[in-house]
Amino acid sequence: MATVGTTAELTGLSLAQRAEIIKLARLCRVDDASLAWLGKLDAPLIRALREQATAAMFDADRKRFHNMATASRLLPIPILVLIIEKVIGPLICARVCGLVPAARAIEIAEKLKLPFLVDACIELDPRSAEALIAGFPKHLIVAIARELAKRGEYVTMGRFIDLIALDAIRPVVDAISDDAKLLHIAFFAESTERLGDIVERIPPQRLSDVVLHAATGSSELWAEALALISGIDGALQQKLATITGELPEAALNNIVRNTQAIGRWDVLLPIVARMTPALQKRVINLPVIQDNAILADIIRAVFRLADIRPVILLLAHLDPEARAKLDSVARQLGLSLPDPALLAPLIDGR
Amino acid sequence: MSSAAGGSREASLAALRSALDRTPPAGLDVLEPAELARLAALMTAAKQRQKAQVDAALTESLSHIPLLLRGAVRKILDL
Repeated sequence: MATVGTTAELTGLSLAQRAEIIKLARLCRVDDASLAWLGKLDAPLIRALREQATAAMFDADRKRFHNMATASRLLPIPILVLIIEKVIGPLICARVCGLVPAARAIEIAEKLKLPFLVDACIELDPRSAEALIAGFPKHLIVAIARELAKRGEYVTMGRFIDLIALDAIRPVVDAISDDAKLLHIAFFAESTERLGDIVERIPPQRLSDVVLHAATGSSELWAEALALISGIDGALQQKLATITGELPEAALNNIVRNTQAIGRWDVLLPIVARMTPALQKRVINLPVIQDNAILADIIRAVFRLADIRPVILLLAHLDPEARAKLDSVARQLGLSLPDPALLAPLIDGR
Repeated sequence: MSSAAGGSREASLAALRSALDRTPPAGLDVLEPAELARLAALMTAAKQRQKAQVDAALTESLSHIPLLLRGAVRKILDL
């Protein structure tokens, strides 16, 4: 069962690299820790390797299954279903179904037993699954999603959620009552656009519950939540940032500790910068942050950001005492933080 | 980079190209020669494992087919 937290060896990597390494490990049927050395490559490159490997692995057998797919058209569906379940098995079924017209494949899928269908979904060639899964009836998608979640098949679900029809997202979310599982699935979603589609369709109360669950949970779960929040754009990110900023102080303290543990201030700070000024002030003045080690890591993270301006503006909300402490830690690191007042005019809308 | 390392790098890239059935994505030059060899071995093993798994599943399916027809089916499935 792959989640972001399964492998300590991957903790130094970006969240996107971790997701990609876990997916590649899953494709190659090896342990994710054994691929930690691929962290030298950026996430899009690991993804490109995975996509090429997927094509090589699945295309190699394509010709072999083409005749089988053609022959299957001659049989009536009830007999075919019997043969698929008793003789063919889920692996071969998964390979052949992408070569059968989607409408017929869906008709067959509806007659297969759910555990068999889920076994086949796990083995599907993601490229040929596109037309198939997009055409699945909603009730079948929900049943498959529920079963995949039960089995902890989050990588498969991340792919699955990318392919299902938009109007099936909400029923799938409703069918998965465990907030942590929703985060695991979102962590492995293939496209950030789809992440936005998911967040948009989660009812506000559920969204708050998911964020609270992540905030009060383990550092691994918080890493998945960070990947989700940082992965979506615009208003939706602001919405999640606001929900986070409004959490009870105990939850925010846990976020600070977990962000420090996973070394991902470079991801959290831009999210804090998306909060309202009042919430920014609340978060950056939390007593738990006023710790030398945490402040030092925050300063290092600021200097790693591609665009430090929105984060530097956060400093304007620091209480004088906290600002003095931050400057003192920066001096010890041989660094100097810019004055937010000088940057403010350079930032649109501020 | 020594010429030996350059040679082994070329061999690894060729192995990777063969495993992926295409030119690998650009950007792998950040990997050391040993890491590139490891990547090529990973992809080759994954592809072989996948083929073995499919072959085993097909062979298992064949056992359900009447003996007289198996030869023809084997031929169709390239087993």
